[in-house]
Amino acid sequence: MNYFYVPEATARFYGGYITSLQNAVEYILAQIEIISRNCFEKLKRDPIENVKYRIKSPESMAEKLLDHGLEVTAENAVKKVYDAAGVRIITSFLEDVDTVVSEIKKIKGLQIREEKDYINNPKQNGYRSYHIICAADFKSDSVFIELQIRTIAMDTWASVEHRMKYKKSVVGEQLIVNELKRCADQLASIDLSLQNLRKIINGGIQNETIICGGRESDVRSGYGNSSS
Amino acid sequence: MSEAVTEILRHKNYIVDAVFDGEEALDYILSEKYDGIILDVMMPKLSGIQVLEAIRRKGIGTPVLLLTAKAEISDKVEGLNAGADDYLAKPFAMPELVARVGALVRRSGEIIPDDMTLGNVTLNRQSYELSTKSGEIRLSKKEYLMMEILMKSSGRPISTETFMTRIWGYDSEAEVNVVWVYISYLRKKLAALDADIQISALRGRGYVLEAVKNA
Repeated sequence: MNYFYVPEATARFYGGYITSLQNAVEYILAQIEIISRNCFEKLKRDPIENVKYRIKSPESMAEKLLDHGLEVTAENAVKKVYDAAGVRIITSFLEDVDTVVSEIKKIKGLQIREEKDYINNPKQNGYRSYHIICAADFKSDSVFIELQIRTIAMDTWASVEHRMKYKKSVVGEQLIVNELKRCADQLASIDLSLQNLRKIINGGIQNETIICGGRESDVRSGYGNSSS
Repeated sequence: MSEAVTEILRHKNYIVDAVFDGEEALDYILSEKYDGIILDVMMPKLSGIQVLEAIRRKGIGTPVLLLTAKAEISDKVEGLNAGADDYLAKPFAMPELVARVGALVRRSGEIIPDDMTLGNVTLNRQSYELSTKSGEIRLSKKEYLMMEILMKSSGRPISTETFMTRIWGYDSEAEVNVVWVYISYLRKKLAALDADIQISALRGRGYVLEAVKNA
């Protein structure tokens, strides 16, 4: 099997576990490909916009283990924390997140250990995403893999927030935190508007303009009547 | 006289729009949000009383100071009954007008808190934030205006046409379907926040906010 590229330092850090981690990621990627295809057949549209994956770098992993008061070893990295292997699935629309999540739960050989719905329960800073931690059992070791499912808007926000985290700013830190939160709440609003617009375009919502006191002449001249 | 009043109020740091007949006054009041309104009873096209009645019918509660020509009791009573907050008989002294305008605006400032609440939903006037215990969402300007009108209407249905004139303005190029599209945005957002209020359509009357009926 032709594995995806992992830097040499990363392979060295995870030692004997690296193959299991890569196996798990490859397996998930293949399953996502199938989900894409099946959805396209059913919905005439692929809900998945993009897929990213990574094995956590030795530097970030060491930092995380130390934060948790754990010794920096490959064993702890794979058994005690859950995101040594990570796959992120980016969707176009909000409702696509639900679709993808329910499809992922059907994947054979994956045991869901934990789900965190940061979309309906956003983090304090405004972070929104759906996290699934699962265990993948393969020939050798069982390893954890973290799946993150979110919309393009949520992903854009998260990548900006991530970049800001480690930067010194020319303006106050609290100001940046507040502004990021504001952007997150605006994007959440826009995600809902886009989802809704799509439904309107597809004729999925009844136009109430006339029954709610719109001027009939105006409605006729617009596109509002063309669908009925 | 309008010019003198405008000049003095601007000097006192008010931002003033001056108009010269009742119809124009109504247009401005419907398309802008003012802190206070001065209406002369004697105006061409629509009288001050007619303008006042029209805006109160539309549910606009902006404080109004009425300028009456005669100090007759019937005039004052008619004005106050029509929804004026104060009146001033002509001729008046400018300092008194300025003082009354100050009192008028102060009064309106006191009774408008930043947060409006209905059911489990809070709308913030400063940030346009719509929130419940499950989270918060930032509304766009027009979504916010629509939500504010619905929350203030206290159970009275608001027609598409009313939304159109109050949010998009009289001469707007926007097509009338825009109202329903924005209503559908707000519905989606209320649902996403697990709101216990919803926007219902009443046939022939318009939209109204009401408690979610438990299925």
